[in-house]
Amino acid sequence: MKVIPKKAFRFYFFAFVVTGALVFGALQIKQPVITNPPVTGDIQAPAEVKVILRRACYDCHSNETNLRWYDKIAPVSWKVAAHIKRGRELMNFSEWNKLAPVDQKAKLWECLNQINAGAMPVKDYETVHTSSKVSEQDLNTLKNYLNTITGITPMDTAKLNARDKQYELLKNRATAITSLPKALNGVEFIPDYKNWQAISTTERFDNGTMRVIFGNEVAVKAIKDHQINPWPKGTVFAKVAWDQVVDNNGNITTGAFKQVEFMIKDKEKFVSTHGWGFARFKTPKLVPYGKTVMFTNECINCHRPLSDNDFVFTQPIKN
Amino acid sequence: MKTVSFVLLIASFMVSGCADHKNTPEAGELNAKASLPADFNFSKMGFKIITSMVNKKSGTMATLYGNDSVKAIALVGNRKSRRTSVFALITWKQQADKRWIGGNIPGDLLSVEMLKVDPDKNIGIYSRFKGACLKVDTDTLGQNARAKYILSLKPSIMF
Ligand code: HEC
Ligand code: HEC
Repeated sequence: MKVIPKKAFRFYFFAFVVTGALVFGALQIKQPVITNPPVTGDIQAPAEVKVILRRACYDCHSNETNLRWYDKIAPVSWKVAAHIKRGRELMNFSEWNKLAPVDQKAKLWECLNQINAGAMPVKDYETVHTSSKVSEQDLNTLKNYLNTITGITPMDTAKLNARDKQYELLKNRATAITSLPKALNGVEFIPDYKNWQAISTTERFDNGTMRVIFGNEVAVKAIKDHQINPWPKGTVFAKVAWDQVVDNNGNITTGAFKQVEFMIKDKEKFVSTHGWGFARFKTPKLVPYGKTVMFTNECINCHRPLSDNDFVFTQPIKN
Repeated sequence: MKTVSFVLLIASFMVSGCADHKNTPEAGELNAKASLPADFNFSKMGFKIITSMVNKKSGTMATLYGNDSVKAIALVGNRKSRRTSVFALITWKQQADKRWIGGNIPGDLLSVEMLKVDPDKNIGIYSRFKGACLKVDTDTLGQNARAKYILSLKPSIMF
């Protein structure tokens, strides 16, 4: 074994430290610039709710970012800047009034779920900024607040009318649609989903909808064989959402059709979206959702906490 | 700096190692308690889904299925069919969706009710199976009311 002489070792060590320091110093020269644009429409919520959001989320999801000295040292500062840029793009509490009231509420439920799943605040940030941790008690505060602003009116005439209008539409629609709508990522509407097996149903009290999740033959076989993580190639899910219609006895039935969403498993075809082709078709006209092909980010961001479950929420029922 | 990043690295391992999955179902788990016993052979009966509903008072949710005849008439509203219609209503106790705060999903299986309506004889044959094992329910009380209820359900609108 060749032993490095003590002197040479010292030299190398010295050179290493100096190079490291130089590189580190050079990194500090080109720093990302983080500015705080004006707050144009801050979220309105009770003080006990806002204090949690401010402490845990505002650094990345508002125009009131408060960087600590250790956030300003490269290479950490680059990562911090990237988080802030992306965080603000997706959700900004300082520009909250840009969202419609129903979307504001939906985003808050998504926040609650991202925290509950341990996905937010971003883990490596939370590790350093320990004060951003959201406790069980904080989570309950958020949950209680959301429960107070969420609710559904029995015998809602607008909802009953919307449903009955669609019944008429169904009866009078002479033939099936001829050309299939297509989402921007190329995923086509599949009219046959109605004849697939239901693998679960959900009552979503957060947004007042009822849902049925259908699985195609490949999905149903995978459930039978209990091979669902990952789901096999060719699996397709269809999830339909309806308004809830509630009577005075607490019976909830399905009202107007709102949308149908698909997830198609093909690892080769949908490489950039974790092997799933996402699509959503809205209203009886089946209008493809999304302004650009990046609409799938929205789907993935909310499904991401289930990354160890192949990005799937549904716990399927075996019939 | 090196020690700092080392500490951060260790810390991040610690965090990811004990990620708090608050009592969510295991990855890849089926909803076993809501599933039907295999020997009931429900999936071989060729049913299509007609609608689903919730009863908040009893904390239950149910899904109505029908054979092709039911499905055909369901699409154009509850008109009478000239063929035999078979309905199946599965009822579960609700449980909170542990993967999404804000959702309730089927929990324990409570019952399967079957209704066969023969258009010529204009009668319905009703039967009920109860509990996780779907044992035949011999109690005939209230059968008419249940049959009426099943026939009163409106189909869900699907495009
Ligand atoms: C260190 C910065 C940072 C902090 C702090 C942070 N987030 Fe995020 N958040 C992000 C980034 C980055 C994304 C995008 C996720 C991705 O692409 O991986 C994101 C995404 C989200 C999304 C998805 C938004 C969408 O429209 O797709 C929600 C919801 C969310 N965060 C909620 C929260 C909540 C609630 C908190 C506070 C408890 C929080 N975040 C704290 C950086 C942060
Ligand atoms: C705000 C969160 C959120 C967003 C955004 C979202 N989903 Fe989901 N998705 C859910 C939840 C929760 C479920 C579980 C079923 C339920 O309760 O609705 C689900 C279930 C599904 C399912 C059934 C399979 C499964 O994972 O359980 C499909 C298909 C689906 N979503 C498609 C989409 C598509 C397509 C998009 C984007 C256009 C999308 N989702 C965006 C929350 C979301």
